[in-house]
Amino acid sequence: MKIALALIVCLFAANGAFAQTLPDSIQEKAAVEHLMALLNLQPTDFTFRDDYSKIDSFRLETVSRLMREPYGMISFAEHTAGILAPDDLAATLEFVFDNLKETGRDLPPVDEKGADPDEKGTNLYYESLEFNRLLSTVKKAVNVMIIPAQRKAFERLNEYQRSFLITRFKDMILEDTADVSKPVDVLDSLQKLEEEYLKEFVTFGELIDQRKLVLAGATAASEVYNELMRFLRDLAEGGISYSQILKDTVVLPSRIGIAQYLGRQKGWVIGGTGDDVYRGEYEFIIDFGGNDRYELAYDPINPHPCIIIDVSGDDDYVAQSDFVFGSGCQSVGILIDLEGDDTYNARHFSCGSGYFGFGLLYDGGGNDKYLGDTHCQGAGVFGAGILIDKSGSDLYNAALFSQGVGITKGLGLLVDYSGNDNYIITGKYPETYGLAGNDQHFLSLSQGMGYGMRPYMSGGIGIIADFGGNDNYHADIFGQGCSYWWGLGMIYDDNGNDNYIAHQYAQGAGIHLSVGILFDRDGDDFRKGKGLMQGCGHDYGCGIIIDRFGNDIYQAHDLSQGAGQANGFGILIDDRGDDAYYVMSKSNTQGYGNPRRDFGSIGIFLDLSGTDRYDGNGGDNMYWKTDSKWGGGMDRWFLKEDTTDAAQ
Amino acid sequence: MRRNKKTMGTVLFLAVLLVGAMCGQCRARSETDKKVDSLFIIASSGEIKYRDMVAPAMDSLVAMGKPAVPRLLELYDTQVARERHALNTILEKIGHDAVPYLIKALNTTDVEKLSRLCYTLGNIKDSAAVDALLKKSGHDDWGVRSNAVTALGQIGDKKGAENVIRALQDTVETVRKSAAVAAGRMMLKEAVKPLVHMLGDKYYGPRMAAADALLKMPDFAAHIISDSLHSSNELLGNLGITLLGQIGGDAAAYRVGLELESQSPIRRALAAEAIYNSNSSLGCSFIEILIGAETDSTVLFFMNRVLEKYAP
Repeated sequence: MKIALALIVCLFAANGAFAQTLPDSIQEKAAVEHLMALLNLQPTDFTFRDDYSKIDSFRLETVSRLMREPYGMISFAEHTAGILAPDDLAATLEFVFDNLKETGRDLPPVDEKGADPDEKGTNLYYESLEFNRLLSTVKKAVNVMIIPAQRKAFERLNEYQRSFLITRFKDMILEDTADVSKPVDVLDSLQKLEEEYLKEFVTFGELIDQRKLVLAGATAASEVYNELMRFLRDLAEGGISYSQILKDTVVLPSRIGIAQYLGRQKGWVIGGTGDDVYRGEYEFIIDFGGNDRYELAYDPINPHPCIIIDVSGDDDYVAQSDFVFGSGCQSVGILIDLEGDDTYNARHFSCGSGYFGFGLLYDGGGNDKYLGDTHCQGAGVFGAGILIDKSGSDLYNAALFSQGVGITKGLGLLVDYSGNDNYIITGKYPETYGLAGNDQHFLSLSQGMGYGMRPYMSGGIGIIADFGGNDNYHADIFGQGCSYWWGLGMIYDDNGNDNYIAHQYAQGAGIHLSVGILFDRDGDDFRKGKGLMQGCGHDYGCGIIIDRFGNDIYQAHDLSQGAGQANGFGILIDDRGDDAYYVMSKSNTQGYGNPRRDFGSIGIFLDLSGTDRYDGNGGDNMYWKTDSKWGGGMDRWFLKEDTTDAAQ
Repeated sequence: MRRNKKTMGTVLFLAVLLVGAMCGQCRARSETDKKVDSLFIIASSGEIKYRDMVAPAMDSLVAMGKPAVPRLLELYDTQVARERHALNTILEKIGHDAVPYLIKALNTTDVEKLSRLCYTLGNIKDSAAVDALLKKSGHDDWGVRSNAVTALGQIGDKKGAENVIRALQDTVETVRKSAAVAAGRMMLKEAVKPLVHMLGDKYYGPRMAAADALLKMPDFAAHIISDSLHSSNELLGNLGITLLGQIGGDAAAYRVGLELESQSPIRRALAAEAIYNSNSSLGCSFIEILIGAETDSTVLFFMNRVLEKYAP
């Protein structure tokens, strides 16, 4: 802080001219300090106590840290982007694991003890060294890493508690479209019942050591992926065909069962290069080509690992149950589809879902369609759910708790590297509390959403990172870099001209003791919604919206664009470009804070360059202070263009 | 969140069992309790379609008055924010009749509940609660201290003054904030000096609450603020300048006008803004003299606003 302040002093001493090579983040911070000083505030005012609510044992360290210093969300987002951008799966998985660390708990050691005895002996069925190496890696992942971790993660739970996870806890996540028509006493009973479930779970929830399973899943996924890449490389270099590998097999002695041979175990299937159909429940599938159809199911009563590798082809994945397609339910699910325009038609807890486990869906290319309902497409609760799409213009369509969502002790991550993508949360589950007034709206709780179960369990971390293309984000209530109850929600969109549409609690919103950020680095973007968005913090929450480049348009009705409510902090920062800001209500937008608990909130609005247009409190090339407690804004040429040779 | 996989009958059956089990542990439910319960379900409902029934249900509970209070206090343990809000509103409206029960309930060791009880007592504003609240204003839990001090301020009884002033020095910023608010509400002249000192508090809650409190006592505060502008705590001086501008008048404008020669551009800008707010044209002459020498664009922005207002 002192360094930054010293920088301001030095820079202002130089006639207000900023050093031209300073990173934007430094200049933004200087601008924040500058504006806050004019409001008799200082950046260290942006902090929340750990104990505004009872501290539970489910709080994640990253969330705790960012609650203490919410402005740190900007550097966290940049740091996250720096790790994810190179498309290094191992680094991505390490990031996921690191951010699932709980407050006050150390990392568990890597533990390979307790391997399945089956690991001792292996008979080879295929003659290809390369293929056997890949199969051995999968076998090791299943038997040495995942199954022992699966055992240890839940070893302290009794049978009733284990069944609770796949019955009552699941019911707490899922919504019912019929709620809207139930009478008040029935709804009240259901809510009370749900609360009793939650209280019951809290009594044993901390006995679950899901990080062991996440670590095992991450390590297994990384090793299988690396070995797969090596296998494909070796094949390409050696001019070896898939069909040759599949044909070259040993002569089986009659007295040994086929299931004892590597690649022929129960639940394993080695597909061919044609159009194949897989039906039922599997532990491992590898398919070398063709347009395949996967009609898969998973029985959560018997948790087991599931690893699927599809090398190429336009494939149809059609779920026959919940918990499929890179879904880990009390176990690990990994799906790697390297090529083709694929369709993932799934239900709940699918397509990169970690439900008391680890789920990874890695799609290496093609224009893909991801369809699901609840807790899918990068969603984690007591675990990690990851969806990585390397290229192509994709459609992500779901209803609730999807597309980068972390619920308690969970991290959900959706990374899309390129293509013009559509992220759609459909209106399926009506919001019945009137959060958005009397009009009919729908719960989304999606798209970079961190969610906790108030007031018993702190939330998780939900992230969408999109590194290219012109993207559309569409949600309704709660989403798009939003958080609730000790959670962290984030969207990082690196470039492209993007559209963000949501109704409420969205686009950089921290709601009820939580932190949310929407960071769009580049492109001419459009954002629209009603309220509590575009940099809004509510009830000890902090919401940040930051846009570094491009000519952007912001539209909102109220409590938006740098608005703090009920002791929350709202921050809007737009660095460059000619932007337009429109609001319906001037009384609580564009640098506004309102009082609660006898003191104020903070809302700040900064546009640091460009010729901008306002309908609201702000104006081009001016400072303003709103009649509120406390807030204001500035639109000043605070940034200098970098015209140095180095920049050129 | 839930999904209605089970039949409605099963869910209701479970709910009935649950409620039955809970009630088995409590005292027998009277007819009054049953009435309170059924009204409270509606009074605390957040559902859109029952919204029109919420206020009448609350009014009915308030109309029941004293007999409803014991059962309402049993419901006070709820963790549901909506229900807590409804309870607080109902008890506040019942008012004086609820106070003895609330005071009795302060014996709890549940600090969260205790804190909320203090809050409710404060909103009722009945001086009968002062002695009980004084005891809680030194509680180990900062949430309890904060709400007890707030309540003392809302009741406004001078018996609470000493405890409120002591709380201005609390180690927890939220308690200091509550104390500042209470001092302002109680118009405690003896709190003015510590409140001026609090303008330099490292956290905005107490800082801004102190400023608001001082604005309620401008005649006592203005000269102490003026004397403190050159405190080594820059925050104190800066906020002091803003406060003097809000207090307004020629004396304040003159004093902040002197700050236009400060080395700090932020302070000069705040001084110009204070002159703008002071509604005194006296300060304008300072601006007219100094604007030619000013180079900082931010300060010039605020100076020009003053000139536009007073010398268009």
